[in-house]
This record gives sequence, structure tokens and C-alpha cells, in this order.
Amino acid sequence: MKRFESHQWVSRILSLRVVLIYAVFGSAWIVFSDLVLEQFHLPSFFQLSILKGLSFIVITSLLLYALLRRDVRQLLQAQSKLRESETRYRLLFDSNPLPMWVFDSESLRFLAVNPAAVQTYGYSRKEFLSMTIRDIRPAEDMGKLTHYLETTGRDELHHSGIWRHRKKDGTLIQVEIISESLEFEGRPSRLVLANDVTEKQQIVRELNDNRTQIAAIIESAMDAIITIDQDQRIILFNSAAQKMFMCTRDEAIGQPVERFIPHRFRNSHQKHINKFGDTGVTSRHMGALGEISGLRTNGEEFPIEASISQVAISGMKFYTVILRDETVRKQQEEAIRRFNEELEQRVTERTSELMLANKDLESFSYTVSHDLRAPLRAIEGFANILMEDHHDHLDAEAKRLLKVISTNVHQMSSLIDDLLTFARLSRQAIEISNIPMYTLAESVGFWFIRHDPRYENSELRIDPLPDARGDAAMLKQVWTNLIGNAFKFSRTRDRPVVEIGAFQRDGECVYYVRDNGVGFDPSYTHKLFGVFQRLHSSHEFEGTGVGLAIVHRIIEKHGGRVWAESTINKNSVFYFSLSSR
Amino acid sequence: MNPLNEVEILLVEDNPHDQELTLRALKKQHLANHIYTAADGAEALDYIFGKGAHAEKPVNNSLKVILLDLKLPKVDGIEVLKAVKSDERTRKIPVVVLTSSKEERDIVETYRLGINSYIVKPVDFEKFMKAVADIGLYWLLLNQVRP
Repeated sequence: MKRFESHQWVSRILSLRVVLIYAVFGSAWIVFSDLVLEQFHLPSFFQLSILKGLSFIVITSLLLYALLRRDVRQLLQAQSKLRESETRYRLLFDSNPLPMWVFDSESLRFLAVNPAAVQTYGYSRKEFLSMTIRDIRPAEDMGKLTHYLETTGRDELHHSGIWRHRKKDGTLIQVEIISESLEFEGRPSRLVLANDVTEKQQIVRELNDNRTQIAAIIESAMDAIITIDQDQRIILFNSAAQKMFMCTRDEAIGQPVERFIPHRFRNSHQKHINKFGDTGVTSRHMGALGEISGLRTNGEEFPIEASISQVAISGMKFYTVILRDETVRKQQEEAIRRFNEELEQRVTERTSELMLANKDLESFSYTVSHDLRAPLRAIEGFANILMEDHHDHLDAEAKRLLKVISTNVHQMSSLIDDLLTFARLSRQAIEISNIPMYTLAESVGFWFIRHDPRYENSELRIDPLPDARGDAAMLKQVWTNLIGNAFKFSRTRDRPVVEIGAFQRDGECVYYVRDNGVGFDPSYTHKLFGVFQRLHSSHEFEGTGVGLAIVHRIIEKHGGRVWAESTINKNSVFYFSLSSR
Repeated sequence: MNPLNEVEILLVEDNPHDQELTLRALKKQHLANHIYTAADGAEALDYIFGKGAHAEKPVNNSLKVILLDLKLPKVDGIEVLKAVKSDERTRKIPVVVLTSSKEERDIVETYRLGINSYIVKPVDFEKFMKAVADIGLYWLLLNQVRP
């Protein structure tokens, strides 16, 4: 507007100047020329008047020429300057890499667009010129635009912030708008510069997201996180730190970090931080030189574990310390240590008790084997001497009674032997070696047949047996007890048969001893392997009730299983397996 | 047999009934005249080494066998055995352990100390008689002592 008015004024003033000079000169000429002529009293007035008139024409023509020439030259100069600057500015507009356009302030129509705008938005120049600035905005931003146009002054350079524009292909872009009002082709318009900041905005958003995320992590961290500047003043203090040190963030920020360090550590802490700063190492564990402690605002000291990291920003050093309250862990450690100590103490006590008990047991069985046998031997011996030396004086009943004494002595003697064997098993370690089971079972089986006349009629059948891993003496005891039982409980049959065999089941080898003897009542199976458990009277079958308990103990020591099946008065089978160790 | 009735068997046994049974078995083999019986380890050592009640006698190295019980009053059988086997003069005397128990550690220990035999006294009368008779016959009549 301003420029438009000043143009009119300049042309008006220039024209007025020429007219004014012409009017002043013409009037002066008319007034003074006739007065001059009258002074000379010239004869031919008519000729002179013509001459005067012509002179006037010539002089005013010259004057007008001089005046106009100057102005026109100035005008032309001004015009050519204008044209030059217009071309320059047009160039700035057309070759500007940023999209630019001019729109009509009233109709909002595009009046001019630069190639960068065409390229960015995808509309051709022609399409642009048929649109208004509303057409490049999403519908939901119309209200905002209207409000903006109504409230913003029209005459100043204006940064109107970031707007969303829609390209021809529909994609939305974020543009930062700077506009300036101007007169374009005689119409009040605005020149707009649109800077595409979509990517920048994306980066900014991501950065913000990141920052939010990191802030959330710092806030929700279980560990206290404290950042201090190079003057050791706190600039970051997270929630965990607030809880740990019992101090609000507002109280902590700006305070020297020393406040949270026990007095006696402050000097060394300062030194450590400085030293760490000089190393240039980015992060490290603290407390390598001993345990470190924190100080709560209530004066309580507590053990901490910490790591420190440093970062330099614009020449300033910042240290971040991550701290963990070790109070509970230390207490737990202490509790565990105490518990372990107690446990060890108890184990030691129990072990020594056990060793004492074992020793007692050992001396007990030693005594039993010596001292219980001696009286038995005396009873047996003297009963026999009575029989030998006084045979003739004894009647049949006396001899029978002596026999009863002798039988009972033998029973007790076997019982002592079995009990000692059983007791010895508990403290005896097993020595594992490869055992040829067939050879072992065979030698045991035939020993019975050879040495006991009661088993003369018994038939012994032995299948091939796989070797086993175990303690030779103990496994021999197992075969002895099982085969002995089989012979014993089948000897009353007409044709006693003892069978020994083995089979594979569930990946383990099961050995068995079968006899066609009197069997046992299966409902007492659970009692079979207990000490002193007998399912037959000693009247029918002699025995101590310890044999199967010994078998059970040995198999248990080998990590195996032993079990039995029977049909009463028909047969019994005793099975055992050894662990595959 | 020694015509001078010289003692050839030392029986170290504290139990009088076992003593009696042992002697009865040896008598049956006509070996009983050459026996000295010690009721505990101390007496046995005195008899062997000529000390205490036996101080008038020299160290007895003419014994053909010592039948030694292990569980004895005062000085136990192991101690007696150690003393006999560590003395140059008595080392060669055969020692037969005659005991009630077959404790493995006793068997191992006594063999280590140099006994000649380890016999568990059977409770069964017949077996006992036979065992003692066998020992007597073997060590007195058949065995030649190392020169």
C-alpha cells in the first residue's frame, strides 16, 4: 500500500514542477516582453511582436526540453534499476530451494508459486494457480487456518509456526511457515516461505520419545541414580535415590553430593572422583578398595554397591553414580553365614555323636562276639562232657534234655553270628568290582549240597547269569542267604528243586532264586525283610529271622531292589536287582 | 615228645571254662603234660620273658607254640603278640590266635604282627575239640620250627 501511494505522489510532484516552471516563465515573459519593447520605441511593432512570439516558443521549448530531459532520464534510470532488482528478486523467488508462493490476502488464491513448491507439493504451476491455500491443508486444520488469518496482522514479517500441508499424492508434510505481506500485481498479498520440516519433526519427536523413555527408566529404576556436575553438585536425583537417602528431589538438587557420604569417607571420595575424572575411563565399579557406605538424612549409614560413569558435554564433566542399597543383602548374607555356621556346628556335633555311637556299636559288637560266645561254648562244651563222661549214668530223658540244651546253644550261636553280620553291614563300605554272578551262585549252591546231608536229594538248576557290579563278599552273602533259604524251605518236598536265573526288565537285570518249597503267606510279604521276622516256627524250620534282613540291607547298599512272590505250599521266588552304576 | 616234660605249649586264656575245654581237647591227643596256662597277658609275658613270678627262669624260647586269646585282662593279646614278635629271642615262637571273634581288624592286625594262624573258637563242641586237637598235632608233631 505504501509503495503504491508514493508512486502517485512522485509522478504528481514531477509533473507539477514542470508546469509550475512553465507557468512562472510564461507569465514573466508576457508581462516583461511588452514593457521592454515599449522602451525601445521601435518602428515596426507588428514584426517585433511576431519575433517576440517566436522567441518565446523557442525559449520555452528549450526550457521544457531541458526540464523533461532531466526528469525522463531520472525516470528511465529509476525504471531500469527497478527492472534489475525485480529480475534479481524474481531469481531469488524462482530458484529458491525452499517452496515459496504468493497468495491473495482476500481470495486466498495462489498468485505465484516457485518451482521448489511445484516440486515439493506435486501440483503443476497451473494447478497451483487455480487453487487457494485452503486446498493444500487437511480438512481438520481449516478452523485453525481461519482463526489464524483473522487474528494475524497483515503487514509484518510473520513466523506462523508449523503447519500440516497435504501434497498432491495425499501425504501430509510438516512445514514451517514464514510470511510477509506485499502488494502483488496491485493486490494485497502475502509472500510465503514453506520449509519442509517433516523429517526434522520426526527426529525431534523421536528424541523427545527417547528422552521420555530414559527419564521413565531413570525414575523407575530400583537403583538410586544421581548425576553430579564437576563441582560435585547434584543435578539429577531419581525416585529410588529419594527413598534411599530419605531426601526429596527438590532438597537434593543443587546440593553437594558429600551430604550423602559419611564424614569419614568424604576426603577419600573427593580424591577418588578426581582420580576417576583424570583416568578418562567411561565407567567403573566403585568400592574396589573396600566396602563403601551411604548416609541417609536421618544420619543412618548403610552399605552400598556403586558404579560410576563420566561424560563430558561442552567441556564440562558430569558424573553419574548408580547405587544399590546393600543393607538387606548384607543382612541376608549374614543370616546365611550364621545359618551355615550353625549348620556346620550341628553337622560337626552330629558327626561326632554318630562317630561315638558307631564306636559304641563297634565295641558293643566286639564284646558281643567275644563275651556272648564264651558262655555258649561253655554250656555246649560241658553238656557234651556230661554226655561223654557220664553217659552210662544218664537215662534217656536226661540225654534228651542235654540235646535240647545243645540245640538252643546252636540256635543262639547262629543268631549272634547273623546279628554281628547285620551290624557290620551298616558301617561297612562297599567295594565295587566286576562279579561273575554265575560262578558265585554255583559255588554257593553246590556248597550247600555238599556240606548239608539234608539237601542230598535237592536238585539245583542254574541258568547262565550276567555279571554284575558290586561288592564280592556282600553279594556272596546275598546268594548264600537266598539259596540257603530255598534249600531249607523245600527240603521237605519229595523232589526239591532250586532254580537260579536272571532276566532283563526295564533296562535292569533281575536275578532270582525259585524253590518248590512250602512258600509263605503273601499277605506277610511286607514282614519278610524285617529283622527277627519269621514266617515259620523254628520247630518246622530253624532260623534266626535275620537272613533276609541282611539281604535287604546289602541290596539297599547297592542301590537295588529285592522282593518276593509265593504261592503257599507250592513255591516261592526271591528277586533282586542291582543298580546299574 | 619231650621226655623232661618240658613245657612246649603256652595257653594264654582267661576264661577257666575255655581253659578246661582246651585242655580236654589236648589231653585227648596226649599233649596236656607239656602245657603251661597263663590267665592274663601280664602273666604270659612274665612266663615268656622270665620276669615277676617267673624271674628265676630264663627267657623261654623253647616253646613250640603259644595259643593266644586276644581279649585278656591286664595286658591284651595284641600287646603280648607285639612283645613276643619284637624280641629277637622269642620272635621265632609260632603264635596261634585262638579267639571268640572274627573281627576283621583283629585278623588283619595280628597277621600283620606275624601270627602263624588265626582260629575262631567254635561254639559247637565237636568242632571245638577237633580244632584244638588239629592245632596241637600240627604245631607240636608236624611243624619244624625255623632254624
